[in-house]
Parts: sequence; C-alpha cells; structure tokens
Amino acid sequence: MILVLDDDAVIGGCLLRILKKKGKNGRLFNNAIEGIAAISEEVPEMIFMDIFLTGPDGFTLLNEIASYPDTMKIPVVIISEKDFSGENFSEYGVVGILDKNTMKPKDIEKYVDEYAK
Amino acid sequence: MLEVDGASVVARELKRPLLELRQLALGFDGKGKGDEEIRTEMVGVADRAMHQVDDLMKIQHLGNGDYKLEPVAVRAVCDDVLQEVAKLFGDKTCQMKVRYSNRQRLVMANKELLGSVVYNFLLDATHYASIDTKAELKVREVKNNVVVEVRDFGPALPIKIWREMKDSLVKQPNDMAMRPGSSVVGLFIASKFSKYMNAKVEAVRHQDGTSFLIKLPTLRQMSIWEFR
Repeated sequence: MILVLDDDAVIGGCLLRILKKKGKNGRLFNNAIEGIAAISEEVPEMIFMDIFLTGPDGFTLLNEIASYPDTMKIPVVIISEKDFSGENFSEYGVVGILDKNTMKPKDIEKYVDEYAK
Repeated sequence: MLEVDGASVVARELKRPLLELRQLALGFDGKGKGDEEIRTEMVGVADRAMHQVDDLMKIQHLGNGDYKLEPVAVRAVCDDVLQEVAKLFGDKTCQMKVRYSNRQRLVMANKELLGSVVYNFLLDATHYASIDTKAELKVREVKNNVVVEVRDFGPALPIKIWREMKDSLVKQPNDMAMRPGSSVVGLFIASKFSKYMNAKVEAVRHQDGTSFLIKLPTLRQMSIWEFR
C-alpha cells in the first residue's frame, strides 16, 4: 500500500490514478490525523504527501513516523507548491521533494520504481 | 477593488484550478480507460473556477445598477444552487442535510447574487463533507429575517476572519492562513454581495467546524408563497 496525503482531492485523485497504472494500491487521506491512523493499521511501502494540509500539517505526520522504529524508514516524497529546495528532511525519511507546479506522472513513477517494495 | 495583498490572494486561489487542470491533462492518455472520469473532473474544476471569476467580475458592476433587488423566494434559490453543486460533486452531495423550516416568506434580494453567496458557502462545506460529517443547509425564520445557514465540519475559522465577519464584511481577501481547502475569496465575494443586498453574513465557530449565516430581512407584504 502507498499512502497519499493531499487535501486537494483532484490532485490526490491524479496521484491514485498514476499508482493504479503502476499496479500499486494507493490510499488517499486529506489530513495528517487520518494518515497517521492508516499507518498504524498498515505500514505503507512509501508516502507521497503535501505539507500544508487541513488541520495538523504534514510535519506532524513526519514527526510521528520518525518517532517509531517500524515507521522511521518509510520513504517519503513531499509534494508541495512551496519551494523547499536546499532543505534537508532526510532525518524524517524524506527521499525526494516534488514541485506541484512542474511535476509530471513520470516523476511519481520514478520514485515508485525506486522505493516501493 | 482589490489592494495588492488581496490581489495576490486571489491570484493564489485561482492558480489552484490551473494546477489541477495541468495534472488532470497529464493523466489523460487518450486510451479511453479512465479518460471519461478525467474529462468530467476537468469540466468540474473549470466550472468552479469560472464561477469564481464571474463573481469577482460582478463585484465591479455592483454600483452600476445591474443587479436589481426584488422579491426573492429563498428556498427556490437554495434548490437551484443545490442542483448546481450536485452537478459538480455528484455523489458527495448525498452527504448533505437539507432542512427548510421557514414559511416561504419572500426577501428583498437579488436572486443571482444570493445564489452566489449560498454557492460559495456550499462549495466549502461540501469540500469538508465525509460519510461521518455531513454538510448542512438550513433555511429558517428568526424574527423578521430569513436565515440561511451552511454548516461545515472543517477546521475552525481563523479568529481574524471571524472578527472581520462580526463587522459584517471581509474587507479584503487578505488572510494567507485561511482554512486549507477553503476559499477566502469565496468569503470575500459572499460579504460583498450580502452587503449590497442589505443582508448580514455571520459566522459561528464550532469545535468541529463553522456555520455561515446569511440573514435576509423578510418582506413585510404578504406573499402568495405563504399560502402554498
């Protein structure tokens, strides 16, 4: 399972379609609380997430997953309109940052090929 | 009309549908599978954005006398808006509770502008709707007003916006920290249109969401609607 966190249902739906084409089961949540609950049910292969979410933001989720040994190594790809270039979130398991303004389906596919088990 | 800060918020909000359309277009592979779903979403995104742009353009014309105030049946306006929102969201509108308890009194308003106010509130409320938390639309009579209430179960309205609404007007769409997924431009539009119609827009903050209220003075004369 691959977790998708985005409070824009249209963008989230686009990500799910890309994952489906790759034969992956994606689950979409629009807030960090539901995302954390889903992770405690099943540890995802990887996470694609926006940072600015309805309610607690994505950093809440990053902090949460970094706190437990079974979740701290989940690969996370941040998808955001905000420019995070130069930032290093590797301590939270962040393996990549995609710019929502310019990302393409092949960018998602590349990360899935590399990190989804 | 809009100061620089306000214009940048509008630009930011109107950029969102462009981002969505871009992603939807990139997912369109022309092989038929899923294309119809994507096409429907693209039309929905474009329709919502055009509605908002149209509303912003209307604000410029409020002073020209283009929008006459006349007796309006609030329920009929709400029914029309519900149909419009249903087209955009499909099944999700099943997650909306509708309750009319007014006596069909008429109010002095402009049908088009009132429709836009209700539409803007319903769009936000539908955004936050889920199986467990249904958005609510209520129309009731309180003293000499018909009150339209749209209740959502999203995050609480920021206190700054709530204070501005207590003064009956969001002066500028100027809060960059509006509720995620919510439209501060929609709130700005609703405030402007309501003021034009001598209606009051208020917000009530709940622990689990926000109610937006539009209070419209009832017409004193008897209406044929009352006898239906």
